[in-house]
Amino acid sequence: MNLLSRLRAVFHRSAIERELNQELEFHLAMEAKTLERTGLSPAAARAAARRSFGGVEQAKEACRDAWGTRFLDNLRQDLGYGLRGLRRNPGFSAVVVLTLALGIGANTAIFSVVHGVLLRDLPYAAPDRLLMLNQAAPKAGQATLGFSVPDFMDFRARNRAFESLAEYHSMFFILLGRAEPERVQTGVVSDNFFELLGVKPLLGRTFLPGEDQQGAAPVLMLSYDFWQHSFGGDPKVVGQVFEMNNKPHTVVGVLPPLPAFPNADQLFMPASACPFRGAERVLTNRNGRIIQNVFGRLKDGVNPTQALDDARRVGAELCGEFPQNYPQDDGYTVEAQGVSRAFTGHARTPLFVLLATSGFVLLIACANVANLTLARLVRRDRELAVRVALGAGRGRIFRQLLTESTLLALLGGAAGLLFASSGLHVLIDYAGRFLPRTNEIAINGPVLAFTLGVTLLTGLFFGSRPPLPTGDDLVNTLKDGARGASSGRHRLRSLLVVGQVAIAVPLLVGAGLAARSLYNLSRVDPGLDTSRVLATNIALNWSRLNDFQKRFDFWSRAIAEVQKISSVQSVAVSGFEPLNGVANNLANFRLEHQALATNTPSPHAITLASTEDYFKTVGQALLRGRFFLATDTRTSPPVAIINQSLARHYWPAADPIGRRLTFDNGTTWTTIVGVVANARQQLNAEPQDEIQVPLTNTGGLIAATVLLRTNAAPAALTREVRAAIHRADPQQPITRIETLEQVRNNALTSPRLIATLLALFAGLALLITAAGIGGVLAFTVSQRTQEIGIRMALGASRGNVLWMIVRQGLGLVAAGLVLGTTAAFFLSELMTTLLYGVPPTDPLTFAAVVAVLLAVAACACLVPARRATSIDPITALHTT
Amino acid sequence: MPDYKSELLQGTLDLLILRTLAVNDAMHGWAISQRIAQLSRDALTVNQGSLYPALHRLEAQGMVEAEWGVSDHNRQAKFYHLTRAGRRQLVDETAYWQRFTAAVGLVLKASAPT
Repeated sequence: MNLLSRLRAVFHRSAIERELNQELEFHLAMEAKTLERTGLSPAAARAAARRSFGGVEQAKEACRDAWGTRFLDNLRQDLGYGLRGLRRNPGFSAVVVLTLALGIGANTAIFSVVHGVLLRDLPYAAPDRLLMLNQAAPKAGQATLGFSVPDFMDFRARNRAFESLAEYHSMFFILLGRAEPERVQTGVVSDNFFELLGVKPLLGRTFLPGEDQQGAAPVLMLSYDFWQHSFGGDPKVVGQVFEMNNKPHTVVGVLPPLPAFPNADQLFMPASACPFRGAERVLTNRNGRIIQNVFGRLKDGVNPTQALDDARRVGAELCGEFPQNYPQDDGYTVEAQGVSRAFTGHARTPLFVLLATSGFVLLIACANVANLTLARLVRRDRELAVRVALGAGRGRIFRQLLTESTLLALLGGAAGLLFASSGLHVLIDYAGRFLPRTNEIAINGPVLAFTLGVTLLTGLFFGSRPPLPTGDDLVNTLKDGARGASSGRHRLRSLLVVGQVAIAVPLLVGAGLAARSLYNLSRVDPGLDTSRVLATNIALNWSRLNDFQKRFDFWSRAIAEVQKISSVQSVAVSGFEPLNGVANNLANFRLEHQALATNTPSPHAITLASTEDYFKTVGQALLRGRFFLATDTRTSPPVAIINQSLARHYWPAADPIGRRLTFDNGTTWTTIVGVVANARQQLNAEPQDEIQVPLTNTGGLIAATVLLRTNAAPAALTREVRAAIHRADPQQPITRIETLEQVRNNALTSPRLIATLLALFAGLALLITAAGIGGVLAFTVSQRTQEIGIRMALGASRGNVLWMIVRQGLGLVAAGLVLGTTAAFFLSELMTTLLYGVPPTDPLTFAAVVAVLLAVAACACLVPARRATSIDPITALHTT
Repeated sequence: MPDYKSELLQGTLDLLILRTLAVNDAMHGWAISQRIAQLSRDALTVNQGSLYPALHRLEAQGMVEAEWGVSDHNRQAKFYHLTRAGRRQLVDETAYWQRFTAAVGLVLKASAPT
């Protein structure tokens, strides 16, 4: 009620004023009437009543104060005044609001991504106390060796820094017992995994102590997404039994929504349920490093550095006890990384570069708006001076100007928010291909708070101006009109332009470098002919195809069936899809008759498996020897084809054909029969040493890629390939079909997104900066009309005048370029990991940026300069 | 030289208004000023200019409420009446005032020249 009447006092001001007048009027009338009775004339009585009342206006003011609404009243007045001002200058308002909207919108969108992906804690208990351990052999290029079961047990028993350790690896299994056999990615973990992370089940329970011991009944937990998509969120799924790996598994619980980390696991099972992890040879083999990640929760009072030292101590102990199991010559060590770091590592650089970029764009936009406002203020000097002269407090005027700028900023912020929310889904779709957790990106509370904060800061930034004219200045301003206080402001405006150019340079350099990287990457010759190749990824139901022969037969049938498609030229099966960067399984080997110096890394190479026509199908050239043949079988002497990189590495001068190497310390020897040209496994990485063996020399591959080369459009064959695979085995699901060209393009997604966004921001910055330069010069011209008129009257040519104006503009630009180039030189270093084939200080890019900025600035200067040359000296001298 | 007769202590005016309204249902400002003058036998003349800000302050604090009505002379006038909060305030203020004047009285008596 009280608040209500206060609000009424603010918003129904005229009604309040009327009532106040009426009330006081009534009082005066009553007083006058009383006085009349003493014999005064009505007029005299009225005058006496007024006298005895005192200052009516003061009383009114005091009444208004009584409501404590003066501040709000002023604000309301300022807002009204501001709005009127904006309406009176729709062009100015529109330009300011639009400029700010672009700046704030860009920042909101990027920040919402940064917030969703990087800044929010992982949904684990105290995630900053969680570490991931790695065994690594850096000298052999192995960032992670994984852990064997004995490794894990020893680290668990011997460490002193961790409250607990948990193991994790991820595999594909076939889930039976539903309408169709389903291939599911399964996290295999120790029983304390979820407890260690601090994850509570949504339904049912997590794993119990002892459930990861050999012989425990197999149990499962469902991920939230899998539960939703495959079971429609049915709570009765808990307790149901499904067959996997020829054993019944009971669902004991459903997990809450979690990020897909470390992998996009649909199911989780305790370590004992995994047939590989449970195999006798894995349980006891110190070299069988099946565990991908070890998670640890720090003990209270232990910091991550101490924990890493402790883990390294354990590693060193193990090296001493089992020297043959730890590759000390390859620089064996233990690494640790915070979980959040591990989760977002690759996303940090691009996101922070983008955030910084959008921040710079906003700064440039602010500078422009400040510039516009200053120009407008010069025209308003007289108006403001009059108000000061009439007694308006300086504080009041300052507040009013600030109210105006905040109003503009808020309008810009609101429009920016609209921009951001309408464009965000595009960004999320795009970013989802290379960033984690993008489905959690939204414009939520913290993002709104960020936007509001940025908006208010923006308002403050361009709303705080040099002080108003005082004393003599004030008089001058009143006399001269616009020119009184403009010189100091002009210097400020010039500085703002210098600043804009200086900020635009790093933005343009960043965009240029990203564009050059993208171009380089798109032009990379991967060593394969990616046109007209279709890749079909298949994972076998290996519980049904449970030995080599069954699996080998399936792949042979698949090749034969696909071969029947009329436009198909050749077909092959490969253990890895080329070019998608997953082929990273390094194997150590030893060469025959080549003794190895001690303390040097053992020879290692990526090992791959394929069928006879593989190289022909993907277009990888044979340099020496032969391809695999149908006669290379399981029983014939083992053969291998190496790539040129490996050949050069070990036989720089000799012919490697006929040489032998061993993967198992001399038990079996493999003969090199061919050398092929280098091909990349990853578009942005140089080819590494590779050894290719025939499919017959493997366990029969439980997951592989069927590749075909066609003389038609490969994408059009998708349906026929599906039918062919179905003919080979009606129950075999297909994971993914794509052309090799698509695989190649996928590698460009992230660089393309970054280059596009950076180019967009840089273009925006360039545009705003050009407008800023043009605006300042146009203002100069209008201020110097008279002077220019005199110069021209005295004989200055149009060329002279043109050059005079352009020179002033380019002077500012040159100063900005010097500052900006220096800044860019240091800032571009931060982009190094995002670049390909171009150094961060690439001279060509820098030169191009300088040239572009100069050209654009020159154009921006020319418009006002031409206006200067068209000044008519007579008119200019007459109008003062 | 201030006129001590009419000068009211800070806050006293509020107390007088509350007191006046407590014994009368609803009064307009002029009537309040007349009543205060009358009750104090003209010893306290309320500065009319400060009466209205005081009334509005009390209204803003929720001590009094106001309604527009018709006066004896058939004119529109704003009538004030006490709220429950105003009544409580009056009790508190009166008690305080009595303690205060008693204390001042004691001090004056003790230090009175004999």
